[in-house]
Amino acid sequence: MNQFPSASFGNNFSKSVEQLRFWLPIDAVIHEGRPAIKWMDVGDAEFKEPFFHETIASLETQQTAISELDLLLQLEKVADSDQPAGFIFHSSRCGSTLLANACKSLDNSLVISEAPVLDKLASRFFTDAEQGSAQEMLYMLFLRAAVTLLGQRRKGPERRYFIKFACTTTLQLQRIRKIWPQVPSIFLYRDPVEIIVSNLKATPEWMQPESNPATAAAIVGVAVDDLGAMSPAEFCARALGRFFEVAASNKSPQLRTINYSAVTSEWLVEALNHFAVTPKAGEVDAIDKVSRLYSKDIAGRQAFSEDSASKRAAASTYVIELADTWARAAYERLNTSIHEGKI
Amino acid sequence: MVASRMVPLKDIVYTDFQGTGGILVDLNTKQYYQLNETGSLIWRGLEKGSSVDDIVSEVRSVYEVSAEQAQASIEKLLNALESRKLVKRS
Repeated sequence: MNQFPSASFGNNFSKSVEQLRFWLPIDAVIHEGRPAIKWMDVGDAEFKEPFFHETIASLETQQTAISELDLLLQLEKVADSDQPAGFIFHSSRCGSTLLANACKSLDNSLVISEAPVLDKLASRFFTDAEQGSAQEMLYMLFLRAAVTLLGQRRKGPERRYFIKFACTTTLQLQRIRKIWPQVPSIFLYRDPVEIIVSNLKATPEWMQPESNPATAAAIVGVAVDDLGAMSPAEFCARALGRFFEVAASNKSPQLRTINYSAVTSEWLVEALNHFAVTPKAGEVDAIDKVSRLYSKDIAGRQAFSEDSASKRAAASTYVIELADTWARAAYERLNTSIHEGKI
Repeated sequence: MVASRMVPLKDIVYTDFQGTGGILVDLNTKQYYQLNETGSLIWRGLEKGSSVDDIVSEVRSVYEVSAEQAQASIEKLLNALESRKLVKRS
């Protein structure tokens, strides 16, 4: 059984701050009816698995603690952290994990891929933080602090620090740009029909409205009561349309967009250049190697196989109509924008 | 009028947001307060141990405002902070 340090609710925050130095915020949870942060002493974990939660699962014997949200702000003040070198946004099932893996191929890099603490804090903007409100600023500060704390120099030297957000956090792109205006970002996307087919095959949590109806409704821009009549395919198509729209509206020299069909090992190097990184020869070789593998294989052995044609062939007329109705126009806007510049 | 020097209480955490304002969190009550740009400037002065006169000068070096107007605005904020037990007279 894990020991449970006295980092929970209470006034002895100086002790808690000291105890939790170099621990990482790993999740935003509800504890005893209140929003809270779950922390873990991850030691020198390198987060080489494709997703943050997979690394955390491998550390299940490590100590954990629960604190209130404001501990994020206190620890941010004393943290020695690397600042993010690049953000990865995406529409899901579109090569973003491959780009994250390319970042992991760099020597001395830290890649935080879809950390629940970040995406859950960002999701509070959907439900608890009206634009321009004090709550909005508070949650922006919590998010900034969580990013800072995940980037703590636990192993000493400075590292190149990248963050890949969950697809739904694309809808908070403007706020994230406001917090980190200088950090370069990339948005990856793909033909909506292919994404819908892929997501229907293995439905991700964000497409399950019953897990958090208020957030789900905000993702697709409808009232909670309207979710019941919406099929998973329609939910996905509407969400994709909104992801694409937000990305197209925010494109700038800082935010580059890339279609999955244009992702190659050469492009991965160019993407790193956008993050102000020039990979060395050995790193380029490592990137080339990961580009030949299935990005979500935790063992890193399964070969990548191109599946766009088979996904399009598997799409029903209903899926194609939904993609055309809810996502096609914004997708085409992104495709137009991609021809405006080369990374 | 308020005392010429006030200091933040130790359980109050201030976090700045890009110099455009910030949030004060009272760790005891878990209440939080938003400060605008001017309020943040004043709070940072309190953290440095500045007197009201020093803060008036600081505010006037940033904004085009008379000493009387700056002092009135600062004292109004200090009274509000004191009534919420976020600062104390030193």
